[in-house]
Formats: sequence, structure tokens, C-alpha cells
Amino acid sequence: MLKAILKYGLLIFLFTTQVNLSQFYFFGRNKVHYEKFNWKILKTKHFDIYYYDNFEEIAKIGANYAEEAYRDLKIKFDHLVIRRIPLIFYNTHLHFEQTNVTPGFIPEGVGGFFEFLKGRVVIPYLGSLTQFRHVIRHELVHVFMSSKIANVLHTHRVIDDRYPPLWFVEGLAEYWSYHWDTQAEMVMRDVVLNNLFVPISQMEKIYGSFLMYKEGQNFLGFVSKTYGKDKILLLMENFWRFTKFKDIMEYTLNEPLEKIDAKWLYQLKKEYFPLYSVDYPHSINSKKLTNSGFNFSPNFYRNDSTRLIYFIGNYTGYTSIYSLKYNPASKELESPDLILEGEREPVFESFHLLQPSLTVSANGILAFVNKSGKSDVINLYSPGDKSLIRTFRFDDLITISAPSFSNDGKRIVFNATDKKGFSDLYILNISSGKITRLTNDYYNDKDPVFGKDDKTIVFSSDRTDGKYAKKYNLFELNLKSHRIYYLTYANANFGTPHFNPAFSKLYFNCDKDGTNNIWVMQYDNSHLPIGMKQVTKFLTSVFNFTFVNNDTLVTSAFEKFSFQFYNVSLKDVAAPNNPFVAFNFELSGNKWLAKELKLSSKSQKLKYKKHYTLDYAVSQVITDPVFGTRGGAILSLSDILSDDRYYFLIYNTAEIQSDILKNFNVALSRINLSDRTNFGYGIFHFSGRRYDLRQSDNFFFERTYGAYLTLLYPFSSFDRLETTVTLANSDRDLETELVGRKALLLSNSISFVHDNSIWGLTGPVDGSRLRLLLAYTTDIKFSNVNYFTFIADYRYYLRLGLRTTLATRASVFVNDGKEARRFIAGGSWDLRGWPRWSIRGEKLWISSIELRFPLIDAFQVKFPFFGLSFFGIKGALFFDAGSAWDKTYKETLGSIGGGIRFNFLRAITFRYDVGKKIEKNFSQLQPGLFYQFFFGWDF
Amino acid sequence: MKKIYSSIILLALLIAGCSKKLILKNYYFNGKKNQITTKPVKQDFFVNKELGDSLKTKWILDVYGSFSNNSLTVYEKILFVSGLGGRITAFNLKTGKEFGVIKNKGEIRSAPIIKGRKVIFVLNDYKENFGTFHVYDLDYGTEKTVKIDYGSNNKLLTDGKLFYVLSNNGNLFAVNINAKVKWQIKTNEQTLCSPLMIEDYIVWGNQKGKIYVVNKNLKKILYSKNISGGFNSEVTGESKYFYIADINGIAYKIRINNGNVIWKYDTKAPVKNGITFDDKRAFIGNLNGDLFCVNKYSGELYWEKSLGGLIDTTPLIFKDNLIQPNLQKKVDIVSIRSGRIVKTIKVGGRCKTAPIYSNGMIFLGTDYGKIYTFVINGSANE
Repeated sequence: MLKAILKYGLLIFLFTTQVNLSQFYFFGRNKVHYEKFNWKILKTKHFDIYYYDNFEEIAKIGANYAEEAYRDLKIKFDHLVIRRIPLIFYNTHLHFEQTNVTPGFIPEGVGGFFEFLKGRVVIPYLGSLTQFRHVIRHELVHVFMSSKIANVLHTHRVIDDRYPPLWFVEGLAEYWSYHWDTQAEMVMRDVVLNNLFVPISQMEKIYGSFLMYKEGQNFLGFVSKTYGKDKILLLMENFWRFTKFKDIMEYTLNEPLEKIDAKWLYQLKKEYFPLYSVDYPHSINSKKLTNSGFNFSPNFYRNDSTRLIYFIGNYTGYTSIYSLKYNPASKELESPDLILEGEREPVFESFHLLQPSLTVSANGILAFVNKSGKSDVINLYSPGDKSLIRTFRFDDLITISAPSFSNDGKRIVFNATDKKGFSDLYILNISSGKITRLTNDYYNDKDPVFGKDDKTIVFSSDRTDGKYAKKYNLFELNLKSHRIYYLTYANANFGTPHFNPAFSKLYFNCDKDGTNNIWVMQYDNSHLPIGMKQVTKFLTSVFNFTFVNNDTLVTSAFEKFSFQFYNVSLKDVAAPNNPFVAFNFELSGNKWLAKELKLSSKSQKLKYKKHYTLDYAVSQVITDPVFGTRGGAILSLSDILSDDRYYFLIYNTAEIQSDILKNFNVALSRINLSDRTNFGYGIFHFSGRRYDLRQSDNFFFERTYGAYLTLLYPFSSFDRLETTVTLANSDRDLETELVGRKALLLSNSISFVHDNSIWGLTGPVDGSRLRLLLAYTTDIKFSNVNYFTFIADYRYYLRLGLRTTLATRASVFVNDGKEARRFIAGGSWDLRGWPRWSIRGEKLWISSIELRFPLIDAFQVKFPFFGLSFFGIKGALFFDAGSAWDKTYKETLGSIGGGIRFNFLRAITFRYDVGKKIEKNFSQLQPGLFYQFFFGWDF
Repeated sequence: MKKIYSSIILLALLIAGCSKKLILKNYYFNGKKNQITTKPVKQDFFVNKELGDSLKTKWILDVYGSFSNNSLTVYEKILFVSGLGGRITAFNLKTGKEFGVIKNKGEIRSAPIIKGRKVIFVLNDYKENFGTFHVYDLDYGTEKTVKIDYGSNNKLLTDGKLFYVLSNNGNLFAVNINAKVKWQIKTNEQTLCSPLMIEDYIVWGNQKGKIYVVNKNLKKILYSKNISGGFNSEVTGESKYFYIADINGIAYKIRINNGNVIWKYDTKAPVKNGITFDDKRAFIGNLNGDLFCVNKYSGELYWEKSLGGLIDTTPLIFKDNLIQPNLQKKVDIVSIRSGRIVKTIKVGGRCKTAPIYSNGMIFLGTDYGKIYTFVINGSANE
């Protein structure tokens, strides 16, 4: 049995599409490579920078940022990274999501990552050079820290099996890469003023969250100021001294952690509580319109009969377009109505929740941006007719944001990123479908809106030069002359300009007071901008806003760590003594220029060639009193982009010395993921005793060797086609037979897989999954084997509430022919209550219905010296039915019951079920109950 | 039978691979039982010889763990190496062979002092927030110890009678050969700066940017003065003056008896090593890999040179050139007159120790516990 686990476990790892084991397969979404990138390398003094296509100009600027960061960080860390550092740049987030450097899917909020196996840094360019510089520095802090910690442990001859806690790792990366900005300030104000603050001693509560990043950053700023800036490096240099980071902190800062936490919180309260005397929360000076989910991009629309707010929201895990009845006088909150559900089908593959991506015309047509296939598109949609009017895709534009209708409704201005990575403004003529490019440079131009007469565009840009260089100011572009003028000039960042409905005033976001509030432009008698007056004085940021009328706004704002809508009356908030800030345009300049790294020779710019390096090598030795000792190893090589991989498996299961050669098992595979069609091929030789599923506890000796080829073609991120061909020679010695069985097996299979499900802690909670497989296996030499396979497995998850799901499954497995293999069922994964894998047959059907619901949100047990906490324990009520047979149908089996599921460390789910089996061909319930404990995800 | 034989072979290999304890009971020089002399420790950064540009590698020695800036010392043809792995290893400089090892769990940041047949060192204990002052008997391998609160990353000093430990929280302990603390001065301010002993004075700077001057005969602080943002380097000096550089990269020359700053020079990047000098010049290296040569008396710049990499070890000065180790896995030989790089020698790891000179040989340590032994112009002995 142990041998089987080793063998089959490794086989499953390598050959998941093999027909022989086709019952255990994988659904999952697809990482689609829509385009082939023409990769190149820039070699600098310390970095190998990988970029592609037309991204060279930004790549050279990034190279300069990287070398500059290296010079700074070597001093901060008092350390040199002496290996060459690979940096992989993608020109947009959409392309970044396709990277194979990490096998997982990358959510929209991830700005880059450092990968530990090969020390690679992978960064998308998001249109802003300032942000690019920040992320490069942030990831390089990880590179330096990783090298420094390893060096400290190694030089002290301490085993390097530990690392600082994540809050410190990410907090330092932020602290040493960027200044304390508006977003950070917003988050800290919110948590301190709303009692959501988490001290260092309890940081595990916010593990991995954005709050953890910002608290970590703030804490290190506090340490630097209170204890000395040298203490941060000392925390790393003392890392060898203790195994717990708490002890390291207490030793380095020379105080107990409780006191450090208390001092920190005290300093924060001193800083933020006084704000209450001048500023106010959103919930005090405005009316809350929503109370759950994530709510962005509000757009007010009114006709004779309706007043609605259209917006992008996420309530269920799928980002979608919603509408909300505008009824601020109502005491009850209105519930949003779903207009268009996203992220379930390719045409609305994903919405960009965190960016402005929705607008509504005067006649109620929605224009929104979503990802569809290889790039973003602009869709025109009629909510009244519930129909998609038109889709605009632009060949050279990859990402799009901030669409805004012209006043006559005939054009849309938007911001987009092209293949060079330039983030510029464009105008779409709706009727002709043609676009006109308005700007063409590496400055980040965003949030465009048409001026009163549609002859100008007002937008935000970091092209600011002079004293406040690189700040985002507001500019006006004249569509006739194409000249650009400053509208604002101050030491602050400006964004989201909006004219009021009368077009008499220009409102915008500005972070002059430390957080994003709404300000209004002030003009002189010649209608030239002279300054701005503060309108709102919220404690935390307004992200975006829309006008209901000249005196009323709806804002999308951040408070108590959620993004909700608020109704704001300008008459109530715009106090006469609110601050006024004058603009001093004389301090402005023309345009700043980004420095590129100067390359000294042509050899520093190279075409990408694959060099393979080791990913990992793992070996295992197992020994037991029955079967003796056996062992094996697996190693993996790949190129720097992880597009092309080789796996090598070797193990031996000999029980006596003379069997060593006979029991050698070897497999070599190549998997290539660089193109849209992924392929893999390999050769193998397996030899040893195997477990015969036909009868329990019976073994046979089999030697099999051959080759396989597999192809995977994704239609979209939800659907794909898989096909596999295997040719294997099989010699089998059966214990019950005198003569062995020889066969030259040719197996062909083709599958269609669909998966748009989203997962909770213990399994899927919404969406659906489907696999249809057809295969044929035949012995082309001896005719000893000849069967076909058909599998249909459909699972549907009906969302009843935010955390409650009705999950259903219907599956059929058929093997029919000579030496057809059996399928197995029974146990916690399918027919619950029945012994695991006790139900076997060449034909099998399973059907299940299960109600999944939250049972215990948090459970804590405190002992005198330690405590245990458990979170997110879920409950289930289930009904299963199925059967397995070879030639003649036997009986229908079933079970009914309930259970609990618990996800442990987000790595494994433990399951415990109690119930009754339905026996005797579904005619009676078992006496008593069954109790079954196991692990594994929900179906 | 096969199993027995393989077990024996494995055991033999294991035993052979383990280091033996440092016992020099039967160690003789020239037919006499050697009384290792006990001159007061005086760190010489200046060697009154010509270096030239030719350095030949004689040995690459191996120790357990890596090093700090002050990990090497030579006594009577024995090289003693203290390491961050908590061990002191002794090598025979005639043969390059290891005599043995004093093993502990923790780190040793300062080179040991040898007095009589005793090795004196300070260990920062593993998993503890204190250190231990050790007096190790070379003949018998026995030890006497006393606890030092917060441990010590700073150089150990001696005037021949007492040993002076400056702990990491700025307390100065005067300890005798029997590991008894005779007196101490407390400042309770974090201090990671190797002190200097000149005549009756002990001088150091701390992380708050304060300098302390203690009169060891009077056993009290003569004065303390705030002059900087913080010190994390090493104090060097001669007769009436001392040199120190701070975390902002500013180097100072200060009069010992009153703390007056004679001159200061801004190198623009932190300095974490000692300022070295000859009769005319003072040399300062910073973490940006820049090396500066200034007039020792006026602080006026003679030359500056960007060596790249990172300098956090004190250079060794000769009459013509200096040796500057670098974290960039190299050693630069630089002309002291012009700053020209005469030669660059690549080594296998980041250079971690200040090089020392003895008997025609130069020693310096790198990552992975390697000690490079160079000979000057092919000559191993004076």
C-alpha cells in the first residue's frame, strides 16, 4: 500500500491527464497566453532585466531605478547581493497575470512579487513611473532582506529554516521603498480612530492583508523615530540570536513587546485623535447608502421615473455591475440590483474593481471596461433592454480605464496603456469606432473628462515639473490646438475631476490635508484658475464621486476598512472657513525627463535565450517493517521565465538487493507553457509490484515503459480542451495466473473542462465545473486490452447567501471493454459513510447534494499557559447516492447526514461526517450512525 | 559483517571530521615551553614596510562560521581566529595546520586576547540576552566565566592588568584574569562602537552620537559629549587625539582630553569601520564603497576614490599602498599617495575582517569561514 502511495502519488503529480488514472483529475481555471512575447534581456551591473516587444524605453528607465535602488539598499542593509538579480518586467497588469513564474493566479491588487526559488523579481508596469520605481524598490528590499537574513544565519552557523514574520518583511519593503503616502495615512487613521488597530503582538490576525503592510510600515517608522533608525538593521543582524522574533525585538529595542506596542499606539493616538477637532467621519457628515461589499465607480443617472446609481461592486466574490436606487431619505438601505454579472464567462472575463471603469450617458447607456481575452474592451450596454450594444477592442491598447462620455454622448474619452507601456489619453468616436490619440509619452495621464463644450479635456497627470515635479496635477488639453495647460499647481496630488451638472464649477479630489478630500476650483475674473477651496474634510479618503445635482454628491469612500457609498450635501459640508490654497504657477516647469540607464556596449542588450536552472530537488526514503526500504527523488529544471520545464523522477522499490535493477522507475517530462497551446511530452519506465483494484490486497508485478504527449488549449480562462496520447508497453505477472499478460497499449483521450467557480475556505461556493472526457485504450500488438472510457462530471454551486451554498454534483464514469479498469468510490470524498474506495466497478455513477453553511465563526480555548483558536468552521448537510458495477447493475447505495469542515492553516481541510448509510438498494437506513473523519476539499 | 565495517568507517570519518579541542599544554617553541607574551593589545593599522603590488596566496584556512571586523590576532606564530559561530580556532603559522578549537554556542565579535597560557574572549550567548566573559586555560581546557549583560559586539581591550569589556548597553566592565569584575561604569545607552585605549583613557562613541572618555585609573567618566547622530564604527587614535566616524558618514578628529573637534569631513555615506592613518594621512572608507584620504592634521582632502561594492572593514596601511577589503568579494591595493588602484585581488566570498600583518604575512577573512593568507613579494618571513 505504501508503495502504491509513493508510486501513484508521483505519477499523479506528473501525469494528471493519463487515462489510466483519469478518475482523479483537476478542474481549475486557465492561465491563457494570448500572445507570444518576444523576450529580450538588458544586462546592467547587477541585474538581468527581461522585457519584451516595444517596452525598451520603460525597461531602461526601470533599469536605472533598479541600479539606484541597489546603491541605496546596500547601504541600508550593510550588505551586498553578490549574485545577478533577475528582474522580469511586464508592460501591463494583464500581461503580468499571464506569467508562469508563479503557478497561481494573480489578483488585480498585486503590484509585483519576489519569488524565492530562483530569486526572481516580477513586476508589471501600471502606467506610472513613480509607482514603477516604488515597486522595484519594494521588491528589491525583499531580495536584499532574503540575502541578508540567509547570510546572518549562515555566518553564525544557525540553521536557516526561519524567516522574519510577514508584517516585518512587507512593512520593511514599504518603509524602505517609499514615503508615507495618502493611502497609508488613510488606512492608519481609519484603524486607529475606529478601534480596528492591531498591535504587533497580534499581527497574525491580519496576516497577508493590506492593513498588515501599512501597520508594518508605520511601526518601523515609529521604531526608527523612537529607538533610532539603526535599530531596523539591528533587528536583522540580531536575527540569529533567538528563534522567536518577539525575543529579537525585545533584545534589540531593550523593552518588553507590550511596552513597545503601548508606546506605538500612544504615539498614533496622539497624532490622530486631535483630527476629530477639525475633520469628521463619513458616517457623521453624510448618509450611508450601502453597508456591505466593495463599492466603486458610482455614476448617477436620472430619468423621469428613476434615480439610480450604477457602479462596479463585489458582494459575492464575482465583480459585477450593479445599480442602486437613489433614495437617501429612506431609513432602510436599498439593496443593489445586479445589472451584469462578471467573471463567469469570457465576454466579461473580469472587471477592474479598483479603477474607475464605468460611466453612464445622458440617455442611460452604460460604457464600461472589462477584460475580455487578450486585452481590455469598452462595452456599451443598455440596462433597459438588458442587451450589449457594441464592443470596442483596440489592437494596440492593452488596458483601459476611466471612460467618460462627451456631453453630446457621441464620444468617449478614456485612458489606456499601449504596448510600449505608455499610459495616455484617447477619444473614441462611437459611431465610427475610430480612436484618436491625444497624448503620447511616458507621463501617466488619467481620469479624463470633457469640458463644458466638449472642446477641452480636463485630466490628471504626473507630468508636473518645477518645484512640485512628479505630483499629479490637473491639466486641460485643448482638442483643437492639442496644447496642454496647468489647471492646478500645488504640493499635493489631484485626481478625479468632475464638473457639476451646471458646468459652473470644477470639483476634484486632492490630498493636500493628508487624505483625499473634495476641493473646488477658484477662478479670477478672467476665469483663470487661482486656487482651490476645500469642500469636504473627511478623516479618510473619498475615492470617487458623482453628482446627483449641483448641491449633492454620492461618494465612494473608505471608512472602517470598507468601501461604501455616502450621500453628501455640499451645503452641509462646504463651510466658509474651509481652507483655501493658492496656486503659484510660476514655480511650475515644462516637463521632467526620466533618466534611462546608459548602456556601455551592445552586448548588454541581448535576445532572450533559455538557460535552465534548478527549481527544486526533493528526495524521499521510506522504510517499513513489511516492505523494507525504498526511496526516490524528483527534480525540476526550468528557464528563467518558467515557460519551459523539465521534470525528472527516479525511484526504486526493490525489496531485495537482486531486484534493484528490475525495480527501477524513471520518468522524464517536458512541459512547455510559453504559448497559448501548452504541451508536454515525456518518456517513462515503471516497474514493480502494484496494487490490483480488481480484488483487494492483491498485488501483481508490472513493467511498463513508453512515452506520452499531451496538449492543452484554453478557449478562455474558464474553458479548455485537453488531449493526451500514450504509448506504453506493459508486461504484467498476475499472481493468480500462470502466464503473464503482455500488451502494447495505445491510449487516446480528449476532454473538455469548464470551471468558473470561486472558492471559500473549504471548497467551491459559487459557479460551476464540468469535465467531459472520452478516451480509448487498446492493445495494438496482442489485443489483450481494448476499452473505451467516458466520464461526465458536472458540479453546480447555487449561492443562497454570502456564505451559504447549495452544492450539487452529477457524475458518470464508464469503462467498457476488455481489461477495462475499475473506478472506485466510497469515503468522505463521494459516497460518505461507506468505507473508502470499497465500491468498485467499471461503471460508476455518483450524485450529491449538499448544503454548505457557516457554523462557528470563531472558537477559542484558553488554557493556563497557551490558547487555541479556530476560525471559520463550516457545516454541511448532505445526501449522496451512487453505484458501481462491472457488467450487471448491482444496487443503489446512498447516505445522508451532516458534518463539519475546518480549514487548517489554509493548506488542508479536515472533514468529519455523521450520518446513516442507505442500504439494500436504497430501501433502508442503516441501524445506528456512521462516523467518518478524513481530509480533503469539498467537491 | 558488511554492516559492521561500514559503520566503523562512517564513525571514523565522523570523528575525523570533528574539530579537536584547543589544548596547548605540550606546545613548545624552540625546545622551550613557550610562555606566550602579553604585550598590551595595540591594533596596528600601519605597517612600516613597503607592500608593493605583489601578493601571493599562501593558504586558505577554514573555520566554522564567519567573522566581524576584528576577528583575527597573531601571538607568537599562532593565528587566533574568533568567529560568529562562537568558536576560536588556533592555527600554526609555520605549517598552516589547525591546533584546535574552543567551542561555544553563540558569537564572538572581537579577537581574543592571550595572556600567559590563557585565552580571554567575550561570547554573546545563543538564545540569551547576555554575554559571557571567558578565561580559557590553554593547558587544560578549563574556563572561568562571568556574565556580561547584553553581551558585547565591541573590541576587547587590556592594559596588561585588567581586561575591559564595553557591553552593548554601554557599560564598561573591568575584569581580572580570574573573571572577576573589579569595577564598572554604567551609561545604559546602546553602544556598538569598538573603543580605543590610549594611555589612561578609554574612548568610545554610542548610538545616540555621544562620545565617552573614561579615565581607567580614576575609574570614572572624564566627560561625555553629544557630537553626532550616532556611531557604529571603531575608534582609532594616537597620543592626544582620536578619530571616529558616524552613521551619516562624517569623520571626526577629536582631542582626547577635552573632546574638542579638530576637524570633520563628510564622506556622504555611513562609516562602520575605523579611520586609519600614517604620519600624514588619514583614510576613511564608507558603505558606498568610497575611500577618502585626508590630511591628518587639517582634514583637507587629498584624494577620493570610488572602489565600488561596500567598505565596512578597516584597511591596512603600508608605506606605499594600503589594502582595502571589500564586500564585493575583492581586495583592492590602493596607492596611498594618489588613490590609484594598483591591483585588485578576487576572493571567494565577501571580505569581512580587517586584515592584519604578521611575519611577512597578511591575513583576512571572508564569508564561509575562509581565511586568506597572503605573502608579500613571495617572502613568508622577515
